[in-house]
Amino acid sequence: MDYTLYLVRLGEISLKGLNRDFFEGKLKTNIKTKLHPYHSRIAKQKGRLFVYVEDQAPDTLVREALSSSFGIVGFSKAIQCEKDFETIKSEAMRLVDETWKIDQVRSFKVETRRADKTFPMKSYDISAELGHLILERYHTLSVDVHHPDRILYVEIRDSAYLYTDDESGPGGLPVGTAGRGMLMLSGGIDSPVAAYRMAKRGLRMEAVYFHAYPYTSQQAMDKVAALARILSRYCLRIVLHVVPFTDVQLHIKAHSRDEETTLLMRACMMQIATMIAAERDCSAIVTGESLSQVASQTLESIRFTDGMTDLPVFRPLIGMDKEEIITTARLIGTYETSILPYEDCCVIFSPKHPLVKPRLDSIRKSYELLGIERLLKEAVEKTERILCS
Amino acid sequence: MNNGYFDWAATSFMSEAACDAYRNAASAYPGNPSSLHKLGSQASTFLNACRSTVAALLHISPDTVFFTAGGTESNSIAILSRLWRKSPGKIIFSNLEHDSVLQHRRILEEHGFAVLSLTSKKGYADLDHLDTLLDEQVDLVCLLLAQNVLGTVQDVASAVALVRAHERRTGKRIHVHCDAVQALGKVSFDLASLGVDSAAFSAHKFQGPRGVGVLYCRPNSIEALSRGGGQESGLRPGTEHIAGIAAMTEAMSELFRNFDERMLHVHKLRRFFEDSWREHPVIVQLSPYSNENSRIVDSIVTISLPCLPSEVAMRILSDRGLYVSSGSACSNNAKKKSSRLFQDFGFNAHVAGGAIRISFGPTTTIEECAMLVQALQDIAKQYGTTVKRG
Repeated sequence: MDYTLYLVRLGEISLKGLNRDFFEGKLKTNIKTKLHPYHSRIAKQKGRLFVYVEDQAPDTLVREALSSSFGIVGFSKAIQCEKDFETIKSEAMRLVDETWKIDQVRSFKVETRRADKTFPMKSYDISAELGHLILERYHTLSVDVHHPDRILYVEIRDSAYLYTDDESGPGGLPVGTAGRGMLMLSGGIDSPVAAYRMAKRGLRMEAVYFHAYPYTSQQAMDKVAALARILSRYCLRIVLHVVPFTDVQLHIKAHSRDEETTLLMRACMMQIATMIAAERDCSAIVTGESLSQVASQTLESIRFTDGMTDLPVFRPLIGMDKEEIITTARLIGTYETSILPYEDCCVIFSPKHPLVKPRLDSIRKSYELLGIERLLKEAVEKTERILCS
Repeated sequence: MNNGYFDWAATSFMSEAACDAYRNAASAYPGNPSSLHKLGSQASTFLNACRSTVAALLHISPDTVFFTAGGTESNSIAILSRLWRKSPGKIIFSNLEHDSVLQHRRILEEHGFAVLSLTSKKGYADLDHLDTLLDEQVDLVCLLLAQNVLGTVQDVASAVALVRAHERRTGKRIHVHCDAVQALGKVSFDLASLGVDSAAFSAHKFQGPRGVGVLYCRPNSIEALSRGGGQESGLRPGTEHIAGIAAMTEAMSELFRNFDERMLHVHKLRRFFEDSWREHPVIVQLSPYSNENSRIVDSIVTISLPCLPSEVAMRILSDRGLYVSSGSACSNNAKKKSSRLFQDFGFNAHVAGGAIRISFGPTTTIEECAMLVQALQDIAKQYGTTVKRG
């Protein structure tokens, strides 16, 4: 089987000490999973991964896999050849011919690193010779060592490696290196962005969605599954837990003061998410809350809902404003799905004037008075799972 | 047939006869009506026979019948023809119009037309307001015949009389277009005596196929924007949809074959519905009640369950195999058009938000209606008290 080589640059991982193998190992698994069903081999070398992909794999698929794998800072398609200068010359010219759009390039440079000091030519000489060759072939180009349009990299190690473009990766840490969390995924703009942010720090996530049929529609449910599928590009496969929430909402509606319903509902969601997290071995809750964005996200409200779980609650958007969140949502491709007009909460469960600054003792008492534990347990028991990838 | 379908105003099921006509015409007339050979002329002859049949059924001349791709296209051809005018004038749309009329506002305004909105009272266009809107700059008036949500039938003849009187004073011609898509087969009317310059019809609203309709207008009174092989006198260029036209013609023939009987059947269903909820504490009828004087389409009635957003009620009914149309979305910020319409009507936001359109047809049975009434009463009982509106 023939393979195409991609060189992958690692960022933060390469700063890790004794744990580095763990991070690199996870990243290797993640990349292999994404490239499946195409076969790949991955070799590690200082600060680099050498990803060899079965050459049947389309280039676009490989680039897509690498550009969405957290832990990768940059990558490029590369040529591996014998450490023989004649071979290096012809392969370098082939790479330039194939990958540079000459009419759009004005300047270039050749950058050589010689790890193998037994190689007879010095780095500078290799660069100069290759640069000369390129100039001979393409008269319109000039050399600019400070701000070149394109760079040809040459590395002499166990073999010679040639590569040009360095496409950027998403940075961060490989998904799965930070443990597992339970994401509270609504159909809105924020929670997918929160998932992206946490995945970037290496958190593997499952997601929980509260489905209140017939008060919310099947379309709203499908939309959340669609969001989870989009997110799986960054987060790997997501198990989506669909909680039947109608009875809980009706109970709250019937047994509480109107202005408290939203907060009590949030409290119930937090409890259910915690119960499912325990079942699924998740040790954190992730939400898309942003301070004071809505009534249930004021400091007072968050203090109350925080008390509903013994797990740490990660709120990566807490200090972001809506515009910043939307920018990220567009970037990761969830925005267009999030704004589809299928509401995740029916208007009859949304009080006109929800409590903004609840008093902790009084709202806690209201929650206790609900006597809703049995309904929450039932909801968890009836929860269905959807695999989103 | 108990299929629980109460969304006839959205679309009706194609009749057996229309399906047969479709299949037969598709195989019997394979030629292009524009072709000069035998197969072409057979198709052309058949097409004109369909035209004559449709014209006879509508009591109009065959040279005023143009086959189109449906109601939306018919409206569009008539309205967009005004763009040929060198000096744009004013255009009046009633606020009861369907989107296939209203959505032309932007393009008309971009071309310099002033688009005026004719107001309505309780589902009926306000003709006094029309009188004040008419001036020498008005070029087009659009008034539909049967309103698609409320089922109210507009007094188009009186509106036309007003327009013509105005024309006599100014000496300037005004085109009156009537969207009759929801009216055909549901209310008795004589197209010629309405006096409109053009009218739109759609086959799938009366058990014909989708994608076929009629534009009625005097020859050469309208020039279409699209260009092609000159079919339908250039009004709707493109090779004719013979099978669809055949099926529509058959559906229309069926419609008028026992029109009075159908009207009576539908009227009985309407009375059955109205009697079942007239005294109901929760269910509110938003459409006018049916009586000898009411100008309504019997087969379209909008009610409200103010206890529930209409979308929720629609889903509960759908799960019970009963298919109705919901007016507004279950959302905190959706201000849907129909909901606004009901608020114009004088109902409060809860009533408007709970609006459900029930529409039925000649094959709807009293048993189906009883099932729907039972379901609505169940919902009213279950949710009327447990769910207090926020």
